[in-house]
Amino acid sequence: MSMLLSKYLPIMNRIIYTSVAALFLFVGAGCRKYVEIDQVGTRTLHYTKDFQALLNYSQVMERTYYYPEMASDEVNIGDTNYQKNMRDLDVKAYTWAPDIFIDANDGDWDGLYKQVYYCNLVTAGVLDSDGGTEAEKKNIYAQALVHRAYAFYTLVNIYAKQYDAATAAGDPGVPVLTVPDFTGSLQRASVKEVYELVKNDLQAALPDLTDVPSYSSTPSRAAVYAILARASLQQGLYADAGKYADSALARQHTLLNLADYADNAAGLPLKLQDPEIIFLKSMTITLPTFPLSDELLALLDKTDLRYTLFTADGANFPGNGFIGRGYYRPRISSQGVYTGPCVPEMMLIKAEAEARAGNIAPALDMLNELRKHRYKPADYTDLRVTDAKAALRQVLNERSRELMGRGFRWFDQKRLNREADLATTVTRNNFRGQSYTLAPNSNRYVFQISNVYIKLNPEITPNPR
Amino acid sequence: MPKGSSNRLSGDDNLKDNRRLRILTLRVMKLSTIIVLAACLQVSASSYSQTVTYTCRNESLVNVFKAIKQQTGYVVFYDQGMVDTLQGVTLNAKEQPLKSFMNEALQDLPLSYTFKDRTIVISKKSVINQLLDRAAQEKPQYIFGRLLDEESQPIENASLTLQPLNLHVVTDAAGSFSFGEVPPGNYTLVITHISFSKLEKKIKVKGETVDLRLVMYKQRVELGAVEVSVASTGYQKINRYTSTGSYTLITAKEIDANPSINLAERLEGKVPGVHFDLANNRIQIRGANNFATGNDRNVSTPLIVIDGFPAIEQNLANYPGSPLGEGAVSPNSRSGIPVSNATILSIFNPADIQSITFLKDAAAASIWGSRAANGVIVIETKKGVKGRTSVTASSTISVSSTPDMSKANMMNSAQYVDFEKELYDKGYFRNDPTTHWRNMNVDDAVLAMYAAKRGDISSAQLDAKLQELSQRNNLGQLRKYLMQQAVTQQYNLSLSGGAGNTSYYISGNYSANSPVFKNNSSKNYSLLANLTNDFFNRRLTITTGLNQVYSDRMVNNAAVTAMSTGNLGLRPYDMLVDEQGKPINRAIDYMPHVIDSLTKLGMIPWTYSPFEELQSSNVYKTTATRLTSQIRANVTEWLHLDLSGMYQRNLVDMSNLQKQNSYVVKSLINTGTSFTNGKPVYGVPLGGIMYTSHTATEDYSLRGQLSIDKQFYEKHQFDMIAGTEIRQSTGSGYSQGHFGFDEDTYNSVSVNPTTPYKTFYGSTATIGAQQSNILVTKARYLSYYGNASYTYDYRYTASGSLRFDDHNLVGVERRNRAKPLWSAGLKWDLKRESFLENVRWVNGLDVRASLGTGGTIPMSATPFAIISLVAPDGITQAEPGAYVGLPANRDLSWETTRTLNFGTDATLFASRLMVTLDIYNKHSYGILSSLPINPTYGWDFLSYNAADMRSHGVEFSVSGDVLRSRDWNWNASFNITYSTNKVTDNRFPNKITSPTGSPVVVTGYPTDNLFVYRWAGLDNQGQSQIYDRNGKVIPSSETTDLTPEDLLYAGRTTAPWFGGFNQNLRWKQFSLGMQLSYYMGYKVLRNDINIANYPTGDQSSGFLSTSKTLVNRWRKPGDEAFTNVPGLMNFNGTSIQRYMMSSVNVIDGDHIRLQMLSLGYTLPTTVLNRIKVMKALSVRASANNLGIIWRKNKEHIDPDYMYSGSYTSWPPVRNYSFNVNVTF
Repeated sequence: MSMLLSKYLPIMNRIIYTSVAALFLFVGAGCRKYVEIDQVGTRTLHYTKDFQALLNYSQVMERTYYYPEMASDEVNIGDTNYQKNMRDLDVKAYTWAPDIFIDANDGDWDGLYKQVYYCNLVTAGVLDSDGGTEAEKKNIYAQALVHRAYAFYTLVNIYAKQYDAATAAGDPGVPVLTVPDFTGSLQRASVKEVYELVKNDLQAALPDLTDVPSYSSTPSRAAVYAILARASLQQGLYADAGKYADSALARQHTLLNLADYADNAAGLPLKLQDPEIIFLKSMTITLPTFPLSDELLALLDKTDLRYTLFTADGANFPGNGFIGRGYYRPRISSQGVYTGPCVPEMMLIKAEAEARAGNIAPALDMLNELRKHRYKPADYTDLRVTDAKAALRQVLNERSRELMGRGFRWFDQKRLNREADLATTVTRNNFRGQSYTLAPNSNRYVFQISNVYIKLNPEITPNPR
Repeated sequence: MPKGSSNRLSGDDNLKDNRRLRILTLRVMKLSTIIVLAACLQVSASSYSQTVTYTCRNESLVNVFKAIKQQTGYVVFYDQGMVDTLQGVTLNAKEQPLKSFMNEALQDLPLSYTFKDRTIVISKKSVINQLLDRAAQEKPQYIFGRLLDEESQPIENASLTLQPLNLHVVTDAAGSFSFGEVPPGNYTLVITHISFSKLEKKIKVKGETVDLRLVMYKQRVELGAVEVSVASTGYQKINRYTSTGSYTLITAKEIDANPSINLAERLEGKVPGVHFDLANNRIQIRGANNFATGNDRNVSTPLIVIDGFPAIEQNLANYPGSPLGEGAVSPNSRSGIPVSNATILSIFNPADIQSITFLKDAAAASIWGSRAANGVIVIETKKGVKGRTSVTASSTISVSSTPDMSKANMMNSAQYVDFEKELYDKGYFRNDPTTHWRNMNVDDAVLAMYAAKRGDISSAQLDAKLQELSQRNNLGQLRKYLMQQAVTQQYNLSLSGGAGNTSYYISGNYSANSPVFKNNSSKNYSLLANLTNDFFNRRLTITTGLNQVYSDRMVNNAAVTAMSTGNLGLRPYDMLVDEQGKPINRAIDYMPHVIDSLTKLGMIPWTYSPFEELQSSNVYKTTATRLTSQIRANVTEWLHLDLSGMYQRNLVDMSNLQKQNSYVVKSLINTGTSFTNGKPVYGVPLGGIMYTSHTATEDYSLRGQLSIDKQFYEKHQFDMIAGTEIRQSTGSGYSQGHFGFDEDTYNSVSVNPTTPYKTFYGSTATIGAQQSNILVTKARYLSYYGNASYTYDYRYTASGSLRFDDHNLVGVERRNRAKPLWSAGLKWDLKRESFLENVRWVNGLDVRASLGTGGTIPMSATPFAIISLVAPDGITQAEPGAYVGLPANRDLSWETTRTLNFGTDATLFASRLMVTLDIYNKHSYGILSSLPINPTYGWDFLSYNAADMRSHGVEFSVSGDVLRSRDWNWNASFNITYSTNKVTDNRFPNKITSPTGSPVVVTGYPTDNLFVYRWAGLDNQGQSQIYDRNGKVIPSSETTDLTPEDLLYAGRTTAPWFGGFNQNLRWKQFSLGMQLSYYMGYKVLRNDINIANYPTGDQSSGFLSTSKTLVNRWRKPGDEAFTNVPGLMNFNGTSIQRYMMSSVNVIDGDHIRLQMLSLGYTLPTTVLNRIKVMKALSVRASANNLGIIWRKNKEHIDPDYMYSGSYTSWPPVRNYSFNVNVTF
C-alpha cells in the first residue's frame, strides 16, 4: 500500500511542478509574442493595399460640398411653409448671411480637409509600404495626388475669391497641408499658389495613372484631364480648358441616351456603372429637397427628358414636399448628387472654348451631340445660331440644363460675374418676409470660414463678408 | 478519545492509523471520489443519523459495531483477534451521540478509538498510554474548559492553541476542550473561531487542574445557519488581521436579506464608498478617475472578478439587448427598453454567491494591476462544507403593484386638446391632410378643427367633438391591453456537503420575470457545481467548478412605443379599442380614405395597431458557461503551488420576427409596391422579416502561483504570493435578415440586396445588405504579480504589491503598453499593545495606511494611425475600403491614479459596536482628454494626457447590536460616504457659454459640474429672459455671445454624500429588516419641458411630448407674472433652450429612499427537532422599491427617475415578495 502511495505522490508532484514550470517558462520566454497578435480588420497602416483601401473609402473620399448649391441661383424658395421649416444653416446659406456658421462646424470644409488628411497619409507612407509592387505604390501615390488636388481646387473656389490672374498672387486662398500632421501652420496660401499646387500635382500624377479605371471612383488620366479642364475654365484659360477637355474626352466619351430610359427611370445605371461619370464625387447631402428656380425651369422644354425624368413636382418629395418643382434625379436611385467631372461637362467645356474662340459650328455641333441624347428622337431639334455671342449664350444655357441641381452653378456664377454681360444679380424675394440681393462679385460670393477654425488657429484670416 | 482532547497522547498511533487510512482512501478515491458522482453517493450515505439507540446486555463488541454501522453509517475498523478475547458490554442508549456512545461502550476496556472521516478505528491502548492514563488520574495536569458565547451557548469548532507548546485542540459540541499533560509554567491560550473575535487568555499551570470558563464575542451577529464568508482578492483570501488595504465584505447573509432579482438592488446602500446608480445600471467605486461620460465602457467601472478570474460579463445586472462584456461584439443591438420597470436578470445567480468583496484602495486592489484602477468587485461562489449533506430549497415570488400612470406628469385629454387648439389657433398646423393625397393624417382633434375651417362641420359640432375627446382617457385601456402584472419567481435548490476527501456544492436555480410591459419576459436556468477533492493527505487539492446559465428573454416594444410620443404614440384620448371592444386601426402616414383606396389596389392595409405590434418580439437566448479548475499543491505546510484556470463562454442568439402586419414591415412592403397595368408588383416580398444574430464570447485564463504562509519564531508572520497569468478574450458575431418570412414553415424568400426595385413613389430603392460581416475580436493579456506582507508580533504589518501587465494593443510598443503598478501599506494593531490590552471595552482597534498607483492604458490613442477595413458593398463602394479609426498620436502614455488611504477599524463594547473609517486622497494625472483640434487637420479631436484631477473622500460605517439578548436582537448599521473631485489642471479654462446639461471639464470644478443660465423670468411675449453677469436682462431674441461669467455654477450632478441605513430587529423567531439609502448634496436639472414639447420651426405635426408642466405655459401677456414656462406664441429655439438650462429648473436631488422592508419568521429548533425532517425553515415577506420617504425639493420630484417625455419614465414600481427557505 505504501508502495502505491510512494509511487503516486512523486508522479503527481512531478506533473504539477512541470506544468507550473512550463507556464512560467512559456510566459517568461514567449510573453511578448503572446500578446503581440494581429487583430481582424484593424491594423496599423503599413500594407500597400491598405493605402488603396483608404482612397477607396467612399464615405470620406467621395463627398464634396452642399452649401454652395443652396446659395446658387438655381434655388428659389417661394413656398412660405417650406421657408419656415428650413434648417438654420440652409437659411443662412440661401440668404448669403454674413455669418453662416458662427461657431458651428462647416461640414463641407471638414469633409474636404478630411480627404486632404487621408491623401496626405497615403503620400507620406505608400512608397515605403509593404506588399506592393513599385508600380502599384506609385499608382496609389498618384491617385492620392489627384484626390488632394480636387479637394484643394474645390476648397479654393468655395472659400476664396474667384481666380483673377491680376490679383491671384495676393488673394488669400485656403490653408495648404501636404503632410499628415496636427501642428503645422494653417496660414492661407494665395489663390495662385493653390491653383499651382493643384495643377502641378495633377501633372505629376499623370504618368502613373491608368487611362480609364475599372471604377470611376479611382482617379485616372481621364480624371486628371477633366479636372485640369475644369480648373482652366475657372481661371478663364479657355483654350487650355478646351484642350484638356479634348484629352479627357479622348479617353472617355460615352453618353447615356435618355430616350432609352424615358419610361423606365429606375433602369438608369447606378453611379459606379454610369458611363458618363469620369471622376465620381458627390454632394455631402444625398437627397437634397428644394424647389428649383423659375429661371432655371424656364430654360427646360417640357419635352426635354432632363425635365421629365430629372425634375418632379414638390409634392412627390417626402413629408409634405413643397410648392414648386425639385431636382428629382437623386431620388430615383438614392445614389447621391454627382459633382465630379463627367462626359457632358467636358463636352460643354469644349463647346464653350470653341464658342469663345468664335468657332460657332464646332461649338454647336458639340451641343447638339449632347442634346440628341437628351430628347426622344421625335422631340429633338438642332440648335442653330449664327453669332458667337448667341452661341456662347446657348452653351451656357445648355450648361445650366445639363448640370442642373448638381452644385456647378455657384462656381459658374462666380466665374461669369467677371464678364459684365454675363453677370447676374440674384434676388431672394419675400423670404420670411424679407428680400435679399446678391450683387455680382459681392464679397458674399466667398464663403465664410467658420469662426471655430479661426479661433483654434488665428493665423487663418477671415473672409470679409 | 473524545474530540476536544489533546491528540498528543496517542499521536504515534494516530499516525499509523492515518497511514492505513490513507491507503484505504486511495482505493475509495479510485472508485468514486474523482467523479462528480461521489457527491451523489455521499447524499445517500448522509441520510444516516449521528445518534445511536441501542440496548443490550453482555453483548459482543462485534455486534455493537454492526449496530453502529447500521444506524450511523460509520464503519468500525478493528482487529478481530483483539476484540474476540474481550468480555461483552452492557449498554442502554437512547438517541445517544455517537461519541458518547463509544465512550460508554469502551469505558472498561483497554481500547481506544479514533474518528477518521466516516470510520472509527479501534486500537489497543498502548502500555505507555495505559500507564499515562493511570498517572493522569493520580496526578492531574489537565487544562479543562468550556467555551461559551455571550448568551452562554456553547461554541463548537473553535480552535485553541496553547502557546508556546503549540498544542492544538478544537471544541466539541458542548464547547468543551481539554489539554493533557501540561507541564507547570506560563502559557497563552489563543482561541479563534470564524464568527467570533479572537480571544487570548494567559494561563498559569501549577501542578493542578485548570478549569476555565471562557466567553467569546461574536464578530457579527447572524441569524440561522452560519456560513463562512471570507474576503478575497481573487488571488488569495484576505487575512482580516494583517490586511492593510481598504475593502468591504458582503456576506451571503446580507445578499439574502433582500429578495430583489437585481443584484445591484440588493447591495445598494450597504457598501461605503460604492455608488450604485440603479437608474442607469452602473456601479462606481470611489468616484471617477477620468473624464469619460455616459455609457462609455471607459467610465470608471470596477473590474468584476468571479472565483478568482475576471468575469466575462462585466455587468452585475444585464438586460436583454445590452452588449455583452469585454471582447464581445453586438452586430445587431436592439435594446431600447428602459432599465427600470423592465426585466433585469443577470448571469450571476445571487443565491449562489458566498461573498462579495469590494476592493477599494490601492493596497487591496493593485494586485489586479491596470484593471483595478477603478476598484475591484470579487465574487466568490458557494463551496461545499464537509459534514452532513444539507439540502436547501428556497422559493421567492414577487408581485408588483400596477404603476400609477396618472402620476406620470402627463397631460390629460382635456389639457392636450386645449394644447392642440392653441397650436391650431396660432397657426402651427399648416397642412390640411385632405388637400393632397400624400399628406400625413393628423389626430382626431386637429382633423375636426380642419373640418370646421373647411365648413364641413359647424363650430358647435366642433366644440362637441372636442368636448367628447376631452372626456376620453386611454389610461385604463393602456393598462388593460399593453401592461401586465409584473411577477418574478425564483426557485433554488442546493446541495452541499462532503466527507472524506471530497466536498461539494451543487445548486440549480430557475427564475422567471415578467415586467410591466406586455409580452416582455425573461427566464433564467442556472446550474452551479463546485467540487473540492483532496489527495495524498491534503498535499494536493483539486477544485473544480462548473456553472451553466441558460436564459431566454423576450423583448417587445409595442407598449413602450404606444406610450411614448412620436409617430406611433397614442395621444391621451386615443383609445385602443372601440366601444364594441374591437381594436382600433389607426391611419398614420395617409388619410384613411387614401389607405382604403391603396388597399383596394392590392396593398396591405396601411394602418397601425399596438395589438399587431405585440406579435413582433425580439427573443434572446443566452447560454453562459464557466469552468474553473484549481490544483493546489502544498509543498510544505507553508509553501503552496497553485495552477488554476478558467474558461468562460457566452453565447447569445437573438431572433426578431417582425410579422407582416407590424407597421415597419407594412410600410416597407407598401412603399416597395408599384403598379403595372393596375396590378401590384411587390418590390419587397410579402411576408414577415426575420432577423437573427449570433454572438459568442470566449475567455480563458491560466495562472501559476506560488504562495508562502509562514510563521517563524512565534512573532514573525510572512505571507507572499507571486505568480503569472495569461488571458485571452475573443468574441465573434454576425447577423442576418430573412425577407418574406413565413412563420408556419420558416421559409423565406431570397432577395437580391443590390438590385433596385421600384417604389410606390416612382423612385427606386434597394433592400440593402441583409447579412452583417462576421465580426471578430481578440484580446490577450499577460501579467506578473506579487504581493507580500510581514507581520511582527501580531502587531505591526507591512505589505507591498507589484504588478506588471501587458496586453495586445495594435500599434503600441511594449514600453508604452506595459507598466508596473505598485502599492504599499502599513497596519498597527493597537489592541495588542499593553496600553490597550486590559481596556475591556475595546475588543479590537487597528489603524492602517496605504499608498499605491493604478492606471489605465490609453486605448483610444496610438502612435501609429490605426485603420479599420470595410467590405465593398457593390453600390457605393466597389472595392475594399478602410477608414482611419485612430490617428497617429505619438505623445501618449498611461492615465495614472495614485491613492493614499488611511483607515481604522474598531470593535468596541463586547464586540457590540464595529466602526470602520477610511479617508482617501486620489491624485489622477495624465488623464486622457479629448481636446478639440482644428478640423482643417482632418481630425476634430485628439487625445492628450492632458489633465490632472484630485479627489478625496471619507467612508464611515458603523454597525452595532443595540439590543442583544436571548429573545431580542436589534442590529443596526449605518454608513456614509463623501467623495468629491476637482480638476486641478489649468489647461481647462471655463469656456462654457451655452450649457447643455452634460458636464464639461473645467479647471477648479468637479467633473460632474452643472452650469446654468441665470433665469430672469418670461418677457411679455412669453419667451425666456436671462441675466448676464452684470444683472442685465437678455431677451431670447438676442443671441449675442455670452461669456462663461454669465453662467451660474449650480452644483454637482452626482451625490457627494450618500450611504445606507440597514436595520434588523429580531424578537424570538421573528425578524424585521429594513434597507434604506440616501443621497445628499447634489442638483438635478428638471427636464419636463424641452424642445420636444414645442413644435418644430413654425409648424407642428405628429404627437408632441405631453408634459403636464406645459399646462401652466404662458398664454397671454400678463401670464409672465406667475409662470416660467415659455408660451407657444413666437417661441424660438433659443428661448426654450435657455429656459431648460436655466437656474429655474435646478432642483435639489437630496433624498432618502426606502428600498425594502421585510418580515421573517424562522421555525424554532425545538419544533424542528420534533418534526425531524428539516434542519431549518424560514419564511419572509418583503416589500421593495417603497419609494422616497424624504426629499428636499419642494416640487415633489424623484430626482433619479424624472419625467422624460413618456409614460414609461416612472420610478420602479413597488413589489411585494414572499420567500420560503427550507434546509434538510
